Formats: sequence, structure tokens, C-alpha cells
Amino acid sequence: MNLDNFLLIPEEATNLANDLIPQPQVCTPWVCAGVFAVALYVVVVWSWGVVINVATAVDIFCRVIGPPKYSCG
Amino acid sequence: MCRHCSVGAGPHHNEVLAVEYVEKALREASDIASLQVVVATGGEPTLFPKHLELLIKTAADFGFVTRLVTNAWWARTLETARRHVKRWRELGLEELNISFDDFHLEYLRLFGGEENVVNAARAAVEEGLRTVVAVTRTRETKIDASYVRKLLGDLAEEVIVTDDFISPTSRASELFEEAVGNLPPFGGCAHAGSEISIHPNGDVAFCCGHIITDPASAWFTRVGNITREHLWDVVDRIQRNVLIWYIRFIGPHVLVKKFNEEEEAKHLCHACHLLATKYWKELETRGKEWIINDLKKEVKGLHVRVLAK
Repeated sequence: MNLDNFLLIPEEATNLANDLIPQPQVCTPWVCAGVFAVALYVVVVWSWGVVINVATAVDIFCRVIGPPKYSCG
Repeated sequence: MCRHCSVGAGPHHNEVLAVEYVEKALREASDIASLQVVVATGGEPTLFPKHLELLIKTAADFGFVTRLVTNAWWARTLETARRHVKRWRELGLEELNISFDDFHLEYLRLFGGEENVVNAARAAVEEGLRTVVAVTRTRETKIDASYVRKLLGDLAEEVIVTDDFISPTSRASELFEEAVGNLPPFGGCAHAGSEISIHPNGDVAFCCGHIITDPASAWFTRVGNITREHLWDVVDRIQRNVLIWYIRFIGPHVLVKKFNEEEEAKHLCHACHLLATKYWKELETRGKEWIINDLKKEVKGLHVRVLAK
């Protein structure tokens, strides 16, 4: 008795190894474009939004509470 | 004879690999980059001092890391321990691995006692060897790693002490009820295909596990013979055997469960023993294509489980 019945020929071994090893996910052009668009939106729109919101909050603060000593001009 | 011996060693086994094949095996192994450690084990390799010295020296000369597994019967006094260890160190030994537990102690008393372990460990530490004490346990044994650490006293911090569990194969099959199951929740046998063992008759096994000399199941691990062929050819067959892939990546216990849901393997080696005996016909009938397909299915499941974890 032996395990020879379970031997793979070299080509079979290579093919099976390729099947078993998870292939790296390659970024398709559309996925890349999507990721880039979201990143651009976050950087340009959202960050400006934060600046505008902070400016608005300071403005409201100054109108309601009055100007603090070292800011609000 | 030690009741726990899962490789069936004892005074009735006095065979040893012929000197010419020790040299041949090491020379051929030295061209296989992934083989890096050479371990002298048995039985008790110090009972063959000339072979042992040749093995250590040749392996060291070829650039292998060298390890000796022993029960320390030769270390009755610190002086004798120092003499032996110094000699082995000069030949190129780098690691001393001492087997000690309830089962070994029964016979170690004939040559001293548990002080032998302390003497051997002290001599090895003094010589700068990596030193390990490996304990085999069942549900009933008293000696465990913490017992050994207390025994070693001031040496404990410089010695690695490991707990291992019995595999109920060969003589140890009589300890089945005492054996502690230690199968991992999932995952295969890290030893299959990544280690080989070479036996006195020249047979090469694809692992160094507990069934490599078991009369009923040793054949399952034997994939070639160093006296008839080049070690490269044997290693090539190991690398192309899809059943060994399955054992390595998924585990033999998974196959056992597929053949019989009720069967409980106590140990990975015990699972291979069951495949080689009780379930061999089933495995042989299902054949290579079934193993390939099931391996693909299991590996897919493994990715999902790893991600889920």
C-alpha cells in the first residue's frame, strides 16, 4: 500500500496550486475612476464644506455671544 | 518500555541508518534550501554514539542547524553531563531537547532520576546550547511544564519548557482514554510535507509524527527510500502528492469526519493513523479526483472563515 494514487503530474500540480492560491484583486479602470472621484469629492467639496461650516459657526458665535478677546476681529 | 511511546521504540529496536546513508542523506538534503534543521532522534540516539557523532558533525559541516532529542540517561552527574555536552558542542550541536515526563521518569530512575534532567540542562546552558525540556501529558500525569520549571530552579529562565499531548498510536493506543484531544479548531498539520524523517532501513516519511514507525500505519507516511533513490526524487513526490496537500492545509481529521461523523480523532497523528487503517479503503475508493475537488471546496471555505475571524 502506498500513496502513489494521489500523485499529481507537474502540470496538474501547477494548475491546482493556481486554483488554490487566492489571486490578487486587480483594480479595473472603472473601480479606479470611482475611487478617484470619491477621493476628489472628499478633498475638494467636503473639506471646503468643513471650512465654510466652521466659519459659519464662528460667525454665529460672535453674533450671539459677542466677540471673544483674541478672535473674531 | 515507556507506556506512552507513540513511535513504538524500545530495546527490541536496535536498528540504525548505515553510516554511508547518513552522509548521502545529508549531502542530498544540503541542496534543498528549505531543509535547514537536522534532528537526531529515536528511540534514544545516544545509544549509538558513533552514528550520532557522525550525524552531528556532518550536518554541521553542511551548514544545518543541529538538534539532539534525548532522555538524559547519560547525565547522572553534572561532570558526566558536561563531558558529553562539551563533546557534542565541539562537533557542532546547537540544540539539546530533553524528553521528560511521568513515563520517562519510570526508567530514568534506573540511571539516576530527575536530577539527570537538571544536570543535562545545566551542562547545555553552560555550553551555550538552546535547551528545551519537552513534557508529554495525559489526563492522569503529574509532571507538567510548571513542575519542570520548579525542578530547574535558577535554570528555568534559560530553558524552554513545553507541554505536549499524547498521540494514542502504537503502544500509546492503550492510553486512549487518558489522551487529551488537542486538535486545532481548524487548520491542517504544519509538519506534513515541511519535515521529512529518514528511518534505519532508509525509508523516507513525509513527516516526523507519531505514526512513522507504527506497525499498522507507518506505511502511510513512507514515500521513498534513500538507499535506492536520490532524496530530491522523494521530496519531488511529496510536493506533488495531493493527499499530503490536503493533510497539510485542511487536516486529516477533516477527512476522518467526512468518512464518519461520529469518529473522534484525539490528535492529528491519530487522524492519519485512522486514515491509514480504518478508513483507507474509503479513501482509496474516493481517489485523487475526489480529494482535488474537496480540497478546492475546503480551501474556499477556509478563506471565508479566515475573513470572518
